[in-house]
Amino acid sequence: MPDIPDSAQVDALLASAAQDVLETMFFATICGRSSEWAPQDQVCVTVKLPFHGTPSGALQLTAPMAVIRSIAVAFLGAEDEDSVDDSQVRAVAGELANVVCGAALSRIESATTFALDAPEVTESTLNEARPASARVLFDLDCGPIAAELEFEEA
Amino acid sequence: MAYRVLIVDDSPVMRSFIRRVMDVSGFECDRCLEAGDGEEALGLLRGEWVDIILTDINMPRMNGEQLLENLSEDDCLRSIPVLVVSTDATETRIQSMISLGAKGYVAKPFTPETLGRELTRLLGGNDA
Repeated sequence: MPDIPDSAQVDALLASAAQDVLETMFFATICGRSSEWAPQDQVCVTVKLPFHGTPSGALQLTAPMAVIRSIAVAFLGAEDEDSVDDSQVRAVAGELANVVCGAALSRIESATTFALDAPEVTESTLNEARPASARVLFDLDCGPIAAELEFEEA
Repeated sequence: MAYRVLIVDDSPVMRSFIRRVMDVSGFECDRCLEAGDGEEALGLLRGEWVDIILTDINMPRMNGEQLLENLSEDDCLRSIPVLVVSTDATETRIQSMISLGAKGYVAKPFTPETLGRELTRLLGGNDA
């Protein structure tokens, strides 16, 4: 069984994958990294994406609805936010999680293969981050976004 | 010269994105067909010829691997080049898809330049 990098390496690999995906395919502008989850009492979109590999686990992506909508406008090349409906916003959130997860696992589990389940997109108010094996918080020009990886125990 | 393209992906927003990226890259697309999985793609190919197929791997009903297997078993369709566009950039997966008959592989995230270059390589006869 291939070795999984230690938590500091996983943090770095998740961060580089998420940054690459956000900037390259979703045309987001990253202003910096953050250490604390900022969007208190805001309605957030959360995408949970279970994966199966060595090891298995789940990626969770969280951002305020307004941030995901802004990302969806850029991804779809839409004229403005009014021209993107809620189902498209949720679909883009799912794709963002899908590509971040694939890019991160390709770096973390590069010697094996993995399979991704369908993303589960929900909306809720999150006031604190949950425990995770690795977490990266970015401040985009349109607001914060968090990506977390949780590995299952072997 | 403009080409006929089939994009196979279960995500409508990803198909829309790929179409737009092809346009931005300067790739000349005469007609762009879309399918949500391999089974739908094979159905479209029974009535329409395309110059190239871009396919995802992870799809319901018939995934990208099964699509490649079906294409390779069809005398009429096996000559259509297939470009895999996937989030999985592991060497194992890339080699597996190439061995099944894929002519190229673009890992997400990708830039318009990367996709355009790969399309040109596959359709322009430049194997470099």
